[in-house]
Amino acid sequence: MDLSFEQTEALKELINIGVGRAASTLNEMLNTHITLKIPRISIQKIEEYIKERSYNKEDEIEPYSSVQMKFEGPFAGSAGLLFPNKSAAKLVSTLLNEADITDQMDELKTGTLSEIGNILINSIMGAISNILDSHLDYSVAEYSEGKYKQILQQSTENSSILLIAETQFEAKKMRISGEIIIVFTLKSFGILKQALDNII
Amino acid sequence: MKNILIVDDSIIMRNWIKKILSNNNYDCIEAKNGLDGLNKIEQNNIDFVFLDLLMPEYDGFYLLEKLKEQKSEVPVVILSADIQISSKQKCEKLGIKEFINKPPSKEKLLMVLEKYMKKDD
Repeated sequence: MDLSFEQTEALKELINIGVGRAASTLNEMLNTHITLKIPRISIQKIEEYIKERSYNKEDEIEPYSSVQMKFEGPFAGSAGLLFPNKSAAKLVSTLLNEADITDQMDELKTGTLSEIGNILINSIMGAISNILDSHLDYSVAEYSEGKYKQILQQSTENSSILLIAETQFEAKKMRISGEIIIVFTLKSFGILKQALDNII
Repeated sequence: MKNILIVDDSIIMRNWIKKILSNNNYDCIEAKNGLDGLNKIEQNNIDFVFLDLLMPEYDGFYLLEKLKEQKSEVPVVILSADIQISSKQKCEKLGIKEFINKPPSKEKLLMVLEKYMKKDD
């Protein structure tokens, strides 16, 4: 079930196209210059990732904010944007020039993060589906908070393959790191591989 | 003043559009989903609708179908984060004239209002 080098490079390129579009969209919406970088993308089986991640002690302490959307179509799964809570609050306060956003849940913070997640996920999955000549149906973006493992387990139910793109938001001299996580069912991943082969 | 209905579950997006339109002498009414939008159309004299597609409980397609049943002539423009070509084609088949990706520029918002809103006699 591994991707070939060419398939991996094609998928990374699609993600970068989507992220580039998202950055442009977010710049427009928030009237702030934002740079989005994806320094690293990894693809692996979920069980392997959960095992690796179990050694990260900070996951037991740090709460995370997450925006997730399910998708269905020729390939199915879910896509999400995850930040440590404190980073999420910092991102929102930086973008909205609101110094007093705390990391407690509130409508402005959740609304902004939900919209950022909505735009970013739509941009990435839309780039993938357009280039692969597919159509995906999405669920409404859902915001949630919790420990990393808990959020991951919610999004990986019935799915097997995990794509993680480390994401860096840079705005107003602040750098805030998060993760884009895309999970695929095993069958979907096979279909995705075939679709990638058609464009390589 | 013309009444513009903004149907979107995102408070951020509603506020953003409302700010642009209010600064250009439009009155704005908000709705959080398709059913809320339908109720607002029935309760108010709506001149134009900006409609998101993906919303909880009652989505944009629900409202579009209801307006079609009622043979409504209110102009509707879709605003969506969905960039898929296939989604745009689906809306075109429902008779939607404009499909704009979120967030729309101020110029684009005002341009479609000018283009599609009925002029007073």
